[in-house]
Amino acid sequence: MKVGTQLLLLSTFSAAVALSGWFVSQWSSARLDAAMTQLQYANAVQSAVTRLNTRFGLYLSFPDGDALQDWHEAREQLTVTLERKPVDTGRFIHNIRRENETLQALTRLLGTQSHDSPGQVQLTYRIYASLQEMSEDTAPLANLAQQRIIDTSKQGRLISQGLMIALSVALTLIAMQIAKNLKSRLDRMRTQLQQVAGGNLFLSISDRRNDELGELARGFDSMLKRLRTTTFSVEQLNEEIHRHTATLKNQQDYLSTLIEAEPAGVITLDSDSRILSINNAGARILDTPVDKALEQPFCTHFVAEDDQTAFSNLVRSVFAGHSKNLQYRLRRARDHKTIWLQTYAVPFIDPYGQIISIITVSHDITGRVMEEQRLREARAFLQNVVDSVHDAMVVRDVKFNVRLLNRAARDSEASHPCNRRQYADTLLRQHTGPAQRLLRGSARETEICNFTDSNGNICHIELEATPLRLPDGTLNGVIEIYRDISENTRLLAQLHEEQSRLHQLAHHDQLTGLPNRTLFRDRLEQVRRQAERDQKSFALLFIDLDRFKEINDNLGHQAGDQVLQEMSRRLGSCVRASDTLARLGGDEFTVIMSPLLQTDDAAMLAQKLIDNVRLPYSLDNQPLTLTTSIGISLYPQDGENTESLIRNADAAMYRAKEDGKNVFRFYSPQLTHRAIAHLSLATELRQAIANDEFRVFYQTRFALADLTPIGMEALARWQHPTHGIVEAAQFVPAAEGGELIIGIGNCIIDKVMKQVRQWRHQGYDPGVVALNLTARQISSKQIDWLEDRLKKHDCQAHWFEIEVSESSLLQTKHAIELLERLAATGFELTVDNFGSGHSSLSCLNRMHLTRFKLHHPFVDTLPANADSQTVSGAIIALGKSLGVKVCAQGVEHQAQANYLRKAGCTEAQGFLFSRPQPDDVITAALSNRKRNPDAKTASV
Amino acid sequence: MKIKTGSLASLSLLAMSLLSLALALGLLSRPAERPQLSIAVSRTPLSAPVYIAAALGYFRNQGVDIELREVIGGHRSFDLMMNGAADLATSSESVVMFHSFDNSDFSVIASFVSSDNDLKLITTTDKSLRSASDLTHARVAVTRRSASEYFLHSMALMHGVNTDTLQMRETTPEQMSRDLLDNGDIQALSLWEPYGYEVTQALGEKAVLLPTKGLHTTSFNMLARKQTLATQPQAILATLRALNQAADFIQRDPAGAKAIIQRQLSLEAEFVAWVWPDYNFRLGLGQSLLISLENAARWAQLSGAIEPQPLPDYRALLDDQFLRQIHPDTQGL
Repeated sequence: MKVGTQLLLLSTFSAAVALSGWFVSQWSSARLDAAMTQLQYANAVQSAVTRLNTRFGLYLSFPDGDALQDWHEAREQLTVTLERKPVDTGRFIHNIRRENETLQALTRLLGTQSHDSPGQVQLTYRIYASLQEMSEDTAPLANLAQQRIIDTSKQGRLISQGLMIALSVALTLIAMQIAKNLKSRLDRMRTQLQQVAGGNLFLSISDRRNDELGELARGFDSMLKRLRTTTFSVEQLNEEIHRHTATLKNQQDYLSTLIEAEPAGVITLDSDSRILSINNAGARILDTPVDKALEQPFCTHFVAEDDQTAFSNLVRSVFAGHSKNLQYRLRRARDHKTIWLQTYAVPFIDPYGQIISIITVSHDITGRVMEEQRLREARAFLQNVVDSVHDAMVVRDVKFNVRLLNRAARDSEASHPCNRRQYADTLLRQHTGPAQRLLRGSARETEICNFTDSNGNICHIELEATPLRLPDGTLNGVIEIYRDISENTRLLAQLHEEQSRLHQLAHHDQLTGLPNRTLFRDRLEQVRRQAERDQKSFALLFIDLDRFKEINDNLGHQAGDQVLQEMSRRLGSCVRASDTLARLGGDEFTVIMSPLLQTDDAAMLAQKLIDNVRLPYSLDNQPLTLTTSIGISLYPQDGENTESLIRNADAAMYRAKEDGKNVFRFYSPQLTHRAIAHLSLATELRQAIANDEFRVFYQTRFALADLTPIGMEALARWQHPTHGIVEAAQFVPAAEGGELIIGIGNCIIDKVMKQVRQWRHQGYDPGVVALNLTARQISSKQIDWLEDRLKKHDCQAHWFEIEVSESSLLQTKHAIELLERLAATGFELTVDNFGSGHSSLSCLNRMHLTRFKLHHPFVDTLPANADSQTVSGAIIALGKSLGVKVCAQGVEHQAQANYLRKAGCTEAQGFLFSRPQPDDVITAALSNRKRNPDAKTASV
Repeated sequence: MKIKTGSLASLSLLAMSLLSLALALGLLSRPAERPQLSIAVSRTPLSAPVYIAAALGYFRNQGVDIELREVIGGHRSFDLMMNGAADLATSSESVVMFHSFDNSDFSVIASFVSSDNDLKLITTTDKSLRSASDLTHARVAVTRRSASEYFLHSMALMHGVNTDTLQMRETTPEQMSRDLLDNGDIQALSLWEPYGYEVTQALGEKAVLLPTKGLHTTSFNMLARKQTLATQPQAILATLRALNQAADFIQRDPAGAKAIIQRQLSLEAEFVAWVWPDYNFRLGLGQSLLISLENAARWAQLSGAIEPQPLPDYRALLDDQFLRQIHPDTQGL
């Protein structure tokens, strides 16, 4: 640290000491002021409390209005005094304020009655007591304030004295240390100076410190050193001059050799461009010997006339101190040849800073200039060639930089594909233009692209990309040619449209727009092949309008055509999207119904077609009613090839005509009978839903181990008005063909949920109740409906299990996903008639099943039949391994029950244990079971 | 050889000096025996200074070991002290008043907290009462011969209501809320904390508190058997100093004090917040308590709670000799 800085710090420190003394004194004084304020506050409070006591005494002596007023004023004064903010809010102030609040509450009642009434006496006692406590708290308040003044004074004095002593001692010690240090260093310097004065130059103070004295010492050492070095002899000087002269000569020789060896011409010029020196290479360029070239004016003698001005400018500019570069021509006098020179000129400056000449270094670049000119001409030629190409052409290098564009490409619109940006990163798969593909190794690429021009026309461009290779075969770029093929495309599209129209004419009936005979046969063959592959059924319906010939004969062909158009519309409205309706000619229509789930579906469609055709039709305001006869053949029962199916459907149709028209007939008479019966039954069932004729019977399910009831299955029954109770097996087949089965099923589920809610409400436990769903009831919409019903009846999903037959599962699309959704809702899931189908084990595992129900026929023949034993044993074992319970249904004999129990079957239901019962009987049983919980077992 | 003997003597002297120093330090650092007292303390936030002094170690700092024996209610703490199971007890002035007639073997040595809102008159928005002045012919549920009845009587008197017209319905504090809601006959309740808080919570927005804050003061006091005062004066003094310190802490850090009480007594924070603003923690013993005791004693005789007899001299019951050593400015009785 510098001495000045040390002294400055010392003085600052002294000032800080003085300042701290002042701060301590100010702080102490402020604290004393605060304590005084606190004392004044305490005195004011004490005075107000004393005044309050006096006023209260006066009121007690003379309890009149004036005394009361004085009391109020004294209390207000105390309140005002207390509201002044004290310096220190201690416990006593807090207490006095509390007492004042109490007095405020009490004062409100003072004087409201006669002063000697018991209430006022009690009130004065309370006021007196509060005043006493208040007085007790005022004394310590003042004492505390006084004590604080004493403490503050003492504390301030002690701190100020201590601080001043400590800082003064510190200041003295620091000052002594600095003075001692300075004195020792100055003494040393004085001693050294005395020795130098005595003639001793070989000494040093060697003070390395970075302060003023250190600098002084180093200056002294440096001065001594310089004194020592200036004492050289004359011989030493001469020797030094010789040595330097020799070195300079060596350097001059070296430079001369270097300049002569330089292949470029090195010429030194004066300000008039006269040649002062020139090397051999320069003389060769000028085609003049060195000695003749010297003193020649370079600019006027050698530089071509056109470039003399530029060269003069160069000389002037370099003499002005700037280095310059110039390309210019020489005119050789001997052979009149033009030489191109590239000259770099720098100023040569003498030791006094004057520019005495310029040095030029010149290269003969005639060859290069000629080459560039040839290249320019070649490029102009190439550009001319490509510009004459009509299509836009773009040449890119391997980094996709555009290297050449022809006029068509330059003049193209911004949205033209040739202006699209191309990306060099060929590894990115999204950039898959022809050029990228070429760079990945493709030989030649063509692509059709579209763009909309400024007139809004869509243009089709054929882009052909060809690789551009170097003579050695390496890829050097891509040539892209963009050909406008819009006109070609338009012509092609017209051709396609024409073909399509011809195809439509060839395969469709012009009058109705329906597929014609050709297309019908084609479709029929396709459907047959598909059905054969999938082992499915389909139906072929032959439709013939009854007595249509009479319309044609009586009303004319135009009316007949109108009727045919209307009928084809009506028929079309009845068939599904997957079916094919065709007109074979005249009044003959066909429907290919595929897929066919139930035979009844074909009958239902036929009836629907008949009903639709029969609807009245107005032809030129004339009412007209038509009927139709339909023949149906089924694949594969009625024929395994298209010819036999067509023949048999035609035969069935003629049978329908023979049977009085306006009916349908299957090729097989038995099927016809059955279909008619089913249709009749379906009509009755619709009526039964409307009349609420369906009932629910419950069959209890038992645990085989102890025959405890563990749940029940809800079974549909039809309360027929004339036939009494009809079992499900008798009406379900007729309902399965259409939406009817959903109506019946939902009616039953609704009733079951309502009943179960009621049982639960009554405190009965029916166990898990099984609800049967058919294939048509397994749909997303149906599951939504089930969830809605649960909410409506306030039921829990786990009270129910959904029972689906194995065959229904196999018929249903997305069955696994739908069952997973049911399981997620909370339903237990059961596969009914397990063993009748061919379920996949992996699918079963995914379905979250609770239970298999053993197929009837296996149970019926137990225990005698060995096959049944094997199958039932395998299913029970499968259930165990999948963690699924197995329930045997249709158990009717004790021997069956015993065998199943031994085989490991855990649950059973059947007539042996309990028959299906109506809800009132079940309710009574549940009630009985609740009363006698021990008598829960089946009565076997 | 001489040098060796000298060294040995010096080493022996040094060892003895170190030994003596160690012994002296051991004796000095051994904890001094402190006198021991037990306090029968009533489990209520009114006993806050006692709990806080114990929790913060003020008793031990002042040189007394205190053992707290917690009981429910001031009567039980009084009984515990008089049975000899505790040296000191905390209780309200009503307990002091009732026992002053049949027992003169104890003294009140300090009052450490007072509440001017511990007793409350509560009605509902659908009743017509809005002030104590409306109490004429009012049907009020009270707990007979308790502070509840005394408070109702006192409020009626102060508001100029003829106390003969008061129609008191006797019930228990636990039953009062239901009585007010279900029994159409009852117009108001007179009851103490924590029942006041519970009733107000139960009634919700329907609750109406009649403005009686400040008109009646309930104090909580430190009681001691006279024998204890005679035999352990220093311990008693230390106890009071610790309570004074606790009162200081409560004033300085009310949130900390509330947290201690809430934890020690397992109370709801809402209840502590409800009663705390009414408490004045102040170590004293003066006219206020004297007047309260005399007024309460007169009422007790008037109401038949106590057989008519001459009032005891309550000045003899209050012993302020210890308190005056802590607060020399305390005024005489």
